[in-house]
Amino acid sequence: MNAQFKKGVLELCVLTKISRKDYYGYELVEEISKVLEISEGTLYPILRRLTDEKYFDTYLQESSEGPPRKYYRITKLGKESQKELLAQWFEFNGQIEKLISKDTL
Amino acid sequence: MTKQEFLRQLKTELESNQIRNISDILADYEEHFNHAQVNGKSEPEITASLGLPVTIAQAYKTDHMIQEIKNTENKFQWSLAINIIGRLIILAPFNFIVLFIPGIIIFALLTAGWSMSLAIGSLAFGILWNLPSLLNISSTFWMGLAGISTTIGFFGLGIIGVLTMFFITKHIVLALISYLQWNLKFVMEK
Repeated sequence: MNAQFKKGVLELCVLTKISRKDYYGYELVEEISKVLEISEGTLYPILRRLTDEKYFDTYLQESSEGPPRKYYRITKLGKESQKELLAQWFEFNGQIEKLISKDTL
Repeated sequence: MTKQEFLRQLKTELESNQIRNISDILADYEEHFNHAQVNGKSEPEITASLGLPVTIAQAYKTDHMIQEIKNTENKFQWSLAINIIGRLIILAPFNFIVLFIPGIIIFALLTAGWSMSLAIGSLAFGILWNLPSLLNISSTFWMGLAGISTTIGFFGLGIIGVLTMFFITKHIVLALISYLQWNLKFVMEK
């Protein structure tokens, strides 16, 4: 865990969300920016990169309530990457937990 | 900023950064505007929360560069490494300023190290070359042996020096690439 960490967190969020259900861009951006303070526009580059890396594939769907939606769906490769990032995240969390609880005692 | 202004600026930024699939990228943002407007947001609100086109273009460029660097991690190629470092420094003049003084120092140390190991190596050849004349002046067996051992010793030192310097230089170049990679990631954040 190092400089890759910060990059990994947002990537982990995106991968995890999309591993649970298919999202279209705006929907995902809304959900993430509700919790994390980010420039919403910078999520699209991540979506594009992960799609380029074959973690997602996309499909277009017409909607009765609004404009057509470009959906992102996780691939097998994406699932593997998500699991790996999640494991790293828990490992890192555990290490920090140990460190902090020692210091506060 | 209006939607049209945002998209036009983004297009210009993407074009000047030579990003591929610009129309696909713009379509993503156009879709974002459409959905946000359906949800009752105004154009200035939407552009404000999206962030600056220049920042967004930077993010696409960053990803592009990082993908290239990642490819070099598998097999280390000097020419490619130098090429990438050059391009990154040109893309982010900030790096140049930050790296300038440490860069000169590291470069000087590396040059000194290389010169020293090469000099020691040459010294070995120098002694070897002069060995016959040295032996003529005071041709004892021990002098000859000393001369030959000194030659071998210096030659070995030279080889060790060159190998060490190769190792050090390679790692410094790799560290530099990692630093630039981290630095570019940093640019992406708000």
